[in-house]
Amino acid sequence: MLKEKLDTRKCFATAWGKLITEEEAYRQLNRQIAAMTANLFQVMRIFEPSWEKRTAAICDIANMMNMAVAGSPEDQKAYVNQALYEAFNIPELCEKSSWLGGITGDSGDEWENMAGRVVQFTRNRVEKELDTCPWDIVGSELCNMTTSMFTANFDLASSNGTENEVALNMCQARGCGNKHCRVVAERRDVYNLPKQDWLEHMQQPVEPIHDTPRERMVKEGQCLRNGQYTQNFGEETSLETAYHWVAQMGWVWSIQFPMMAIKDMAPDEDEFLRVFRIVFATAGKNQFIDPFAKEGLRSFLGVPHEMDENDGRLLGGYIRYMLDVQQVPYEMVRWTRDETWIKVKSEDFTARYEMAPLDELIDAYEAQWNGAAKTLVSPEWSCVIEDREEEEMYIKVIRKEDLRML
Amino acid sequence: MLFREDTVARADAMAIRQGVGFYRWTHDLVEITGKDALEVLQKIYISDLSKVPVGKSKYTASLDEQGEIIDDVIVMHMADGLYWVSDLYGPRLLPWIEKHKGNADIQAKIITYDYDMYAVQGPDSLKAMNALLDAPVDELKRFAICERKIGDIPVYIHRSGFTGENGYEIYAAFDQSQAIRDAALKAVESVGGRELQTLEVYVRSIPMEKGFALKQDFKHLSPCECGLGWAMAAEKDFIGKEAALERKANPKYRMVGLEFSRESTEDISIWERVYWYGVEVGRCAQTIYGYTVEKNIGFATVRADVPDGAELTVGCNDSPAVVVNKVFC
Repeated sequence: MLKEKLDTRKCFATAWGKLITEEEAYRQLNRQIAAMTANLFQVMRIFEPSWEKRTAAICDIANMMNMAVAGSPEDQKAYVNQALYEAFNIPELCEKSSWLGGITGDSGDEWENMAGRVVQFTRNRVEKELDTCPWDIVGSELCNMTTSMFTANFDLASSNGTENEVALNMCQARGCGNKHCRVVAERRDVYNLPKQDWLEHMQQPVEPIHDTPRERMVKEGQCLRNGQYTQNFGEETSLETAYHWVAQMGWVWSIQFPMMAIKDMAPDEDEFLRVFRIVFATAGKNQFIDPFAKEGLRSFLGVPHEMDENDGRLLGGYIRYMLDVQQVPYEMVRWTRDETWIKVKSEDFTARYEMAPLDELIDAYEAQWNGAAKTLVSPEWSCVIEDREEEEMYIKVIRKEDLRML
Repeated sequence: MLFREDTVARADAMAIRQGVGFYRWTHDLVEITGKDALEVLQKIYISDLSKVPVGKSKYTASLDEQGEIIDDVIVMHMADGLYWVSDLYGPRLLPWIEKHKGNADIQAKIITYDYDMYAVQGPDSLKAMNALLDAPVDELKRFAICERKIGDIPVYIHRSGFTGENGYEIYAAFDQSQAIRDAALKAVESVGGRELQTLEVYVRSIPMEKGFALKQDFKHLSPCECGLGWAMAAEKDFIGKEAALERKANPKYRMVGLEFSRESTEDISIWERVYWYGVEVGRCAQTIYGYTVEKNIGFATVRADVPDGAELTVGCNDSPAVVVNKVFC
């Protein structure tokens, strides 16, 4: 009976009443952050033409920031005990050493809908295989960067102070066009392997890999398949918790960490922002250039047929949907044929993770949504974000002449 | 995840089934003392622990108020008024005791870091233990504890295990762990055994073949729904008893074994959905390769009306599985 089922699924309504399930929103959020990362990495490629230099730079910063999370060297072991061993209920029968990073890595993957499995988990070797990765559009620099983050976790979990015992290789990567992502950690002392530099983490492992055949690959992570992620020691994370975690931390590791390095690649802050806005404006224009992209959005959001295609609420409704997906609270202030105003607390918009505000999100989304306005609605329309320095800011979709459109 | 072709895992499994293997197996250990210790333990655990004399132990479980299993443990009666609880979730036991002790005189503390534990398991384990210890343990009964020495190091020997084979557990002071390991390695190798390398073999594959489950496999289950009805004492009260008896009369679920026909189960994670004629009827707790039975096997919690022999599918790729007894060999 419908009455009994009314409370069984979590969802939110679009501006036109179409219900978006929690699962759909979570899937969209992961992909949205990945798309933002992809745009940011185009900025990086403009400023630093050398693949090696830019990759090493983002590896360096991502590793440093991951280590910093654990506090001072004196605090790090306490952090590991609390954040890894106790939080993950790793029993005493397990030797506390770097390879346990395999478990924390697995949880991080699954929380971000990177679907796969730990195929081997022994004292000397961990092999993790992914069938999907929402970030597979970004490029190999990011794949390398994740190895530097794993290195930090492995360093922290090490039994030798803070230098890990393993050789860590992402020997396959979806971002490089492979069927799987595959990360293998092998103990250096057992396999007689040297310590690695940042750009040496995409080599082949010593032991042969286990390649899951296509017919047994999965398309979604555990949170979407089973409503929860359960790790090897039985600890569970609900879809709701994973979704909330991504809405905060997804922006930190894949946007904020590399952005710190990318800003250093630009001649100065102004030049960084100039190129940054151009790239995001272009991405926005391309978002709805194809007629079927517009039709698809209308159908997805439940836009009524009678709504004119030159109505700014098409973009306003899309932005509102995106805020809901990203778990950003907002208030609708104007919602007319002539204008959409959405009030958002500036902190809610920029500080998805409270400790790490990301002011550039305003520039990125203003440029992208302004670009999208031109193709989703028409060149008569623009998107501006006003009062960004105030406690509350306004995202406005309005008709506006723009003599110097980006 | 284990695979048929993993030669190291296979050698580990065969050592346990056909010879002897040893491995570090330190659970959380909780020491319980106080004049009302037994009274509180009787309230928390489903078995009658008053019948466990000093020097003996008992496998038992605790329930929540809904009669569902929240933990399974071994309670060891070490001395008058002194119990050790071997538990994978020790830090969660302490607040549970605190919540239910009332005014009872009981003290509970984690002693995990005081004692390390090694398991010596397999049909040749007695030979290995006699080669290792200062005096033989031929007379030691199952679930019994005695004191011995390894060299000069005093140890407790507990005849128990999680493999379905004859086996022993060695408890020694944590700071003597390396010396115990070295001595155990020498003794075990002297009778043709080995130190196990693969955690999933001794935590999952070997136990699952014999129907031994981990705490997380019991999620949502009451004792009579998973074959632990025998452990419930009829003549005493304990937390969740009434609800557990109701579930005995009207079971919601049953814990079953699954045998998979595909070569491997990469698409099945922990707690994957299980379907019968396309309708979801439960969850698969975990799958693993069993080197004795030479099959991919698993535990599942399914609707109580799903019979043995039912042909199910598991997960997003419809992996076929047949319901069987959860003791595979």
